[in-house]
Amino acid sequence: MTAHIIRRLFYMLIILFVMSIIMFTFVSLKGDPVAIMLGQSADQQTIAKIREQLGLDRPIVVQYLDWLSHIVRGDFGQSYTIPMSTLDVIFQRLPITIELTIFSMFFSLLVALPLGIVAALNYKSKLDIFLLEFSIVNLSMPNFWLGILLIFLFALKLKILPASGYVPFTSSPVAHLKLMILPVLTLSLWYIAVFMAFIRSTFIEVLQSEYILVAYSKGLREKRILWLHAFKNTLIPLVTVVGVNVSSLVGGAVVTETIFSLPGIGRLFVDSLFGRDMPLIMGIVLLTTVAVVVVNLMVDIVYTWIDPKIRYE
Amino acid sequence: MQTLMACLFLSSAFTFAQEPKPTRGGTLRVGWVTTGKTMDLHKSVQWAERHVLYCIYDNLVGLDESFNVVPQLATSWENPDKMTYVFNLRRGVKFHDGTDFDASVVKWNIDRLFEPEFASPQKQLIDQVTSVEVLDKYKVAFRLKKPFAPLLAALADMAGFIVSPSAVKKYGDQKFAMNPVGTGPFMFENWMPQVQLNVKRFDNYWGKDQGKPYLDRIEFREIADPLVRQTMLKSGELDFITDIDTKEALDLQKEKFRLIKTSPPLRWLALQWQVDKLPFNNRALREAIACGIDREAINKALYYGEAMAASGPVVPGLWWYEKDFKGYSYNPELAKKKLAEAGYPNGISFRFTVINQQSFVQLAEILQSQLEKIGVKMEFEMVNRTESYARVLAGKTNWTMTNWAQRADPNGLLAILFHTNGLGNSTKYDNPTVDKLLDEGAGMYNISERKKIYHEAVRTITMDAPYVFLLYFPDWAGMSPKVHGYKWIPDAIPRFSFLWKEQ
Repeated sequence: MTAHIIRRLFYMLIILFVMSIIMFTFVSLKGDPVAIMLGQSADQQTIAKIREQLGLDRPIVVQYLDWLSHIVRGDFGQSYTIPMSTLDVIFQRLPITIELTIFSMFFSLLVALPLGIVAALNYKSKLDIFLLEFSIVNLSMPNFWLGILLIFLFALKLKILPASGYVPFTSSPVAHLKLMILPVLTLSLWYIAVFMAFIRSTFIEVLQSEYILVAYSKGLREKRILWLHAFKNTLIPLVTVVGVNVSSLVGGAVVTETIFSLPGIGRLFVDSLFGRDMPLIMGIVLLTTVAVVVVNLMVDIVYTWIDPKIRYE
Repeated sequence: MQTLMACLFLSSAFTFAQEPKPTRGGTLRVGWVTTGKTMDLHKSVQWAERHVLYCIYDNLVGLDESFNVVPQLATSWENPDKMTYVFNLRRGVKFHDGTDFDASVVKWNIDRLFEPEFASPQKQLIDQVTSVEVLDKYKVAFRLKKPFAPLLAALADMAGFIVSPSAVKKYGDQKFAMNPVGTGPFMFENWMPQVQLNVKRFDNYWGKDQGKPYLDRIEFREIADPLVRQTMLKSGELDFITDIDTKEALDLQKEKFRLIKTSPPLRWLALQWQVDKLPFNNRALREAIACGIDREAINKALYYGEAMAASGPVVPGLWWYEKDFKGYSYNPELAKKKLAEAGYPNGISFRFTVINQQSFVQLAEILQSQLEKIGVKMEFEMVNRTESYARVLAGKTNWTMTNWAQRADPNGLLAILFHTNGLGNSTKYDNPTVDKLLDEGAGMYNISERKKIYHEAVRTITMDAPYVFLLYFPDWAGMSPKVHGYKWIPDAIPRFSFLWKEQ
């Protein structure tokens, strides 16, 4: 197990290195951040001066090596677009996206698990078809549209929730949580659909497998069969799906964070791309890569815990 | 024009009838447009940052609703000779950190702006200044390279803001961006970029004798999505929003929100191209397109009649606007003739760069259908809003659309865009006659003489068509019915010191 983790972390370093070269090249090729920073008051003299100050007048390779030498020493640099250091910004924003992700995952599993199992147990019944239709509607609703609909309903019509904005947990926990409800709901509905469809099909498959038939023929009680045998075997593929989706949530959060004005990492990343904020882009890419690798590693570990047959040499 | 006058009259009548006496106190929640990057005004370039900068800082001179330069930190000024401006400064003004404002502070600010290593984007506005001299504690002289009438307007703009020297020394240039200190009506409180910036009333503000500012606090909440901003105004979570499409503004107005537009409209909307490159170095082609656009139709479709057809790069209401000059107007027959003259009797297709934002895309589609009728096909290329101007300036975009707000002196915008050496001359327009007129105009102190010069320059520029001027369109501010006292200054930047909120 330890060897497995060490090997994974070693691969991560290689991935990070390759990623950084690719990102750095692409962002540099896309053009100059200084003209964008200056907007309509840009003039060639000032552009040249600021380029020089940021070291953008040097060849890309030199710029990259310079960046790398700082990163190795843990110096992520100063953001071009936000008057803070790159790490300060990222660590200010990361908790918000993590909170959004955890709440959304938790909520969607909470809803999807019972619904998926109920659908599977009532395979091909009216209820099953209704639940399937429900998930198809959810899946085909774009995030931004759903978000606006929810704002319209809860903030404008019912007036029970705030439309958008952000309050840190430390300044007012109640206001903070109230503001998280709509974004979590927006993100969750899609995942509920994904997870429910997945749980349903896996559960149906498991119910038709031989060991379940054996269990029935032994005369075990249905409750015991469902919970001990069927449910446990649905979990392994489910953990994989959840793991994959946790890392894709960072991408899904971009739209949600923009609509609800949540200052998370997704929105920060989009803004940094538009502003060609190289230190910030690179910082976010590196840290999210680490996060994805760590989540996958955790999924691996959870496997061994759910299924003792799985071992890493 | 008649409808415009009627609107003007109606809106002013409306304000008079509604305006009760100002009361003090309350928090104004503003839907802030984009992400601010710095609160150091000597480094600031983002439009939205100015909404806050005008709360925290004061200029040497200010602007009123008719774009006149009025006293602010300077109480009066004179030209002892054409190469010098002498300003008498307001006494007893304090910065938020307790520092006294005097002549040495003014000199320190301008020197900071001119420091080569500091690379302030504001420097270009007052390039003609050679030095600032302290005459006595409250008297300061600006020495010029050559006579330069636009100096006052530049000092009312980003170049004339005054920051606290002791605060800059205390925090250093980089940290000052997050810890701004000025003499303005509101003090900086705190800021979480991309979330919210708060300012609170400065009790020692020099305008306090008139009771200003009225508000206790302003919260600038960064809300990126325009639809969400409008919804939050409706749900009562915001008190004040800007950057509203005309259609949305009219909808809000129907729902009893207070909507105030810039009247007359303050921005011009135009097409631009590179006049030194194929295919638009062909004057007849430019004329054909300028004549092929039905401006009134765009006004009706996109602005519900709230905009006006544009005659040139000057909006009505400014002293250098010429009422009798009409520029190009819709004439499809002439447009077809010109297109044939340009060498395209059978029509032609060009790439047109569209800013990836709903209002611009809609405009592009209307233009496309209009120009198709005269034989010009438009192929769209989309570009992101944040990088569109950088691309135009770098010459990577040939034909696109643009809009500019006004500055308080004709030289401000005209010299930047149309002088051969203009800093924003992205069309590569090069006309020695225009250069000469603009240079002359900048060096004159007599308004009626300057007026003649700029009328001639604007006529020449418009007919040469480096830009095709389409419309003058209004900016809208939407506010809750409890908010009173709002006025637009023609630079289209909201000011909050005279605004108050019913409790």
